[in-house]
Amino acid sequence: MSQAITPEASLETPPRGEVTAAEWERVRRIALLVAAGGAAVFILLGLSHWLLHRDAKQLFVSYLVGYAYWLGSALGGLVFLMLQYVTGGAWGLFLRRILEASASVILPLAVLFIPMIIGLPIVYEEYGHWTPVPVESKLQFKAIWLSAPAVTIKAILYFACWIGMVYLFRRWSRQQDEGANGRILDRCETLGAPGIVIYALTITFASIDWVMALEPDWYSTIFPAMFAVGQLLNGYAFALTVFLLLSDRPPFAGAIQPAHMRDFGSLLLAFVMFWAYMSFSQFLLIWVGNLPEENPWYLLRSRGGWQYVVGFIALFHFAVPFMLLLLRDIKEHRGRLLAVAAGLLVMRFIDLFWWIEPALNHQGEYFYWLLDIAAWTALGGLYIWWFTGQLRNRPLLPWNDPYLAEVLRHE
Amino acid sequence: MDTNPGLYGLLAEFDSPQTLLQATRSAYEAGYRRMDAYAPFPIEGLPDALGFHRTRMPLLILIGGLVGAVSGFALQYYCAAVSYPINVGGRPLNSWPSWIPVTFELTVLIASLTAVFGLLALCGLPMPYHPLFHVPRFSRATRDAFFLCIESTDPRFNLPATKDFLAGLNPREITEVPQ
Repeated sequence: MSQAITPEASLETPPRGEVTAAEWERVRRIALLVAAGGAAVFILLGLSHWLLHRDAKQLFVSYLVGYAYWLGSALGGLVFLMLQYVTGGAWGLFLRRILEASASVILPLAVLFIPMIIGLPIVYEEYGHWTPVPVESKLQFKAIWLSAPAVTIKAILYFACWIGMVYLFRRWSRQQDEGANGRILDRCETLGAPGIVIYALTITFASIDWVMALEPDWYSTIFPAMFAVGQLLNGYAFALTVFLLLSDRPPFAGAIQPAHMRDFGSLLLAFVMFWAYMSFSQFLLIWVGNLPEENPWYLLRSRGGWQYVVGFIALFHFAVPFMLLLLRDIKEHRGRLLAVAAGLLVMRFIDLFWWIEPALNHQGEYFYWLLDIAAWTALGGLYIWWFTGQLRNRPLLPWNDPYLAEVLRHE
Repeated sequence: MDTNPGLYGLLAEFDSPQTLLQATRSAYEAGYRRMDAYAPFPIEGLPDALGFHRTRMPLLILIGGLVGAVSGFALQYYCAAVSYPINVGGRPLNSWPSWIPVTFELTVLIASLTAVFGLLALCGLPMPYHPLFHVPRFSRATRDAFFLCIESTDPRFNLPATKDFLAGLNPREITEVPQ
């Protein structure tokens, strides 16, 4: 039994033309200005912070919050790109170019990782030095594994995997655009499945090296999964936001049916629930275990003001979007779904902030979070600049994909 | 309104989903409301053409879910904090994070049971007898035929006039369906 589809739902707005070169140019110029502004604020605030507290660690950690966010957006895009090759479906064809452009930002992000390498001994004070610290034998492996040379070599490996996969997918999709059809789709599907496994392995170790190592005595086996799901939600919410912004323009306008919109909304709901499942599972296991070596992570994050942050996250990263995304009136309506997706993008930042910042002692500091926002803004501006540069160079739909005709036939 | 007490309605058979959809739209425009369409598979747009309204199902399922959540939590709270309070590993008696999985499961269970049985109840199922079973060709509604039935309880129903109206919609056959 299907219900009446509200006529004003989503895509009935008057048709607008394709996105022009001038419009792309304007977006890219604004993105660069935002990046420059964010960087200027970061440098000014960073300098004053350093003069006041003689503390460089905060600067690198704030950079890490912004960096982890945009890395999540790019890698989440890559995973969804692979996922849509493996599973098929109309949603994947509509999002493919956006996901490709998003994943391609991994290249500048690899360069932007260099500051993190410089900061390794400062941020990961305990083990992150260029000569591994000698410790008692039980922790010897950890000390070597988390030492700066090991982390650097591993980072090069992770980025090689990610950039390699993005390179292949983009190369093949360009060949498909140029008409070389044949086995292109087979190749993408063949790489997609093991690619997801490669991502799962690399992000497991990367999240341990870069985030979990901030508190090296603490460990949680579920943390990498929770981190990865956060990235997936980040990448998908970003791609969906861009898609919805473009959805009243050709070639999307007119091709999207209410059923497609429901699929987009339901997929977002699934990942909101997946995120909540992972986040709560970690909390539940630590709560039930009640062990002194696991507890501090949550004790730190539920006191001294952080209890309000975690309450806000539970409410607006899960409860509210969960309820909203159950409703067809939200999923079928372009503006409303856009608001939910954009809201979740904001919540991803707050969630990462809550994961990372409490690892530092902020006694007597009140405005360190401005540094996080400045770093996030600067990296975000660069991200959008590179992303739109990739997106505008290709048709927004994969016209030579054999499944596309099938999707568009239902107009 | 037709006063013939023995008549359930007029059943028109169509060749294709498109003609059925078209006929349903025309009937709705002509002011008929108490009617139903029968097809072997879901047809996009047909519920709109019939003027389907929103049902109370979502509200019922929400209530079912809330009942499940409250009862699931209350069950565990009563057991662990009221009926047999016991200190487990130094956690508070109301160790709420541990209650969440069962609370969630009961929410889903009661909500989905409400959905299944609520749907059956609101649809009036199971229904062992229906007047349309008098029409032998109606069994093809599950295979390859498309039907529109205007029921005699419709205020605008008038046997000759409605029959003429349906005849104008290009059906394969029109049948009078007894109660």
